[in-house]
Amino acid sequence: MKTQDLTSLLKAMFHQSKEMIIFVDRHGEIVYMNEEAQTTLDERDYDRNQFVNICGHCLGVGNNDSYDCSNCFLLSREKLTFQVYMRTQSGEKAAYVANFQQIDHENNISVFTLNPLSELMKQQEFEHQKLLTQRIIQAQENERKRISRDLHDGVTQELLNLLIEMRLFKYTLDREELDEKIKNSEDTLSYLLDYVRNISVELRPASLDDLGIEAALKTHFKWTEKQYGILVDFDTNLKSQRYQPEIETVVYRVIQEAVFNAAKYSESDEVSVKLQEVLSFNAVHIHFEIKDEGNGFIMEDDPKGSGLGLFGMQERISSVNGTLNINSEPGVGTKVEGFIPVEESIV
Amino acid sequence: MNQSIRNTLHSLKEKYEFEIIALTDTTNSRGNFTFKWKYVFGSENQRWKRMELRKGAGLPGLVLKTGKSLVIQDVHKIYDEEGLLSYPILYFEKVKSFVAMPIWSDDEVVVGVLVLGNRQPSQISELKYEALKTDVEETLRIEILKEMMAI
Repeated sequence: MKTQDLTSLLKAMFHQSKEMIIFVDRHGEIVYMNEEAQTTLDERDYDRNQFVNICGHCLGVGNNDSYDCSNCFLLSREKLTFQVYMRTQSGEKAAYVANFQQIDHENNISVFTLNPLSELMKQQEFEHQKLLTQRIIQAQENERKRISRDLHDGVTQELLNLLIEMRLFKYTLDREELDEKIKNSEDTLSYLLDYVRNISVELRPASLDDLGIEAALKTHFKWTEKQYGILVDFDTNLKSQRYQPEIETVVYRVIQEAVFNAAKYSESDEVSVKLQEVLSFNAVHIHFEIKDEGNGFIMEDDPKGSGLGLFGMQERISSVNGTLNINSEPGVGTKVEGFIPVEESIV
Repeated sequence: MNQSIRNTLHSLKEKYEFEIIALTDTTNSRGNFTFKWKYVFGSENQRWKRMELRKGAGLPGLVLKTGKSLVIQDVHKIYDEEGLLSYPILYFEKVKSFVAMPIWSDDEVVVGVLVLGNRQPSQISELKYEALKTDVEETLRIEILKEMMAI
């Protein structure tokens, strides 16, 4: 076992490790640091021959880009696996997973080791992205399937019907019988027209582009009531104001999704939708609220469906710098609330 | 609301042991492509009252289009949750097994769609279905036709 000297192994480890190893005293003065730390950390401002303080390199402890010194590791004897932000040679900040342990109690020397977090996060991010892409592709495929089925089962079949009906016209000699048949075909045609119109409105309502959010939502709610039997109580102070098209789309789609969720999961007979232009902090905002008094759900639980709906709402809202709040409690109901800053409404 | 149709529906529901029974409107006249649920007993909510049914869509739409009965013992074997949403009456009433059948007039027009459902999967034997079908033809169908004549 003891074929090599521990000291030489430790030295080799210290010098060659891809992990930053820094020895500091109790004031944070750097006693030693390894090559990795020297090449990584920003040293431009310091005289290399002098002891320098770790605080010159460290930005603070924290996570998710918020960090400060309130939780400084220097104040503790031992602090394991925490996240710390350091300034690197290129002047950028980087996140590390750090360990801080006092190893020499007499001289108050501690060892501070740092592992880059970005690699780990990149991998996680990548995996997450992959999963998300898969789900989005799946959702897209499902949507296509639905449209294709709608076209095939509805439109194609009825058209074929019509074709056969009309072929029979020429064999019908009796005038009255022919009239009857023509009337039938007429009915089929107007039914088809209705059907196609429904498909196209479902995909994207023309009224959203032509008449604005209020008109489009009203039409949509009427459809929701007929389709799912849920009463939508719509209250708005938007008359026929128009906003930038991307904002109108976001508002329409997010409200649509929230109402759909209420219809699908709340088991309530009614959902209320409020849509208002408000003045807050001296800026114009669109504020909306979708509320039901139905089942509700536990916020931390796994989503009942794919979870893509909620994710999509968040994504859409943040694309126009808005905020979205979802609140739900079992037995009480669910409230979805959104704020979107808008320029003065465009006429 | 026709009292004798109500009574007939109630007794069918009891006799064949279903938790919910639903019958659509009979007015499927020209130029009007939507119809509604007219009688629903055993429902847990009021949604069916507002639902509008279209000829090609939903469960009644399917029955109307094919003119055939549908007997399903476990809906989850056939539809997933999303697919079930295309049949709102099944989704919102949590129906897991059901019989759906068209009711024909004498001149071969469907005058209504009848749905009998349970909230858990259940065996619906051919024997039971046949008995039900005969019963519906002899009682409910007659009542519906009577009502139509009266109008």
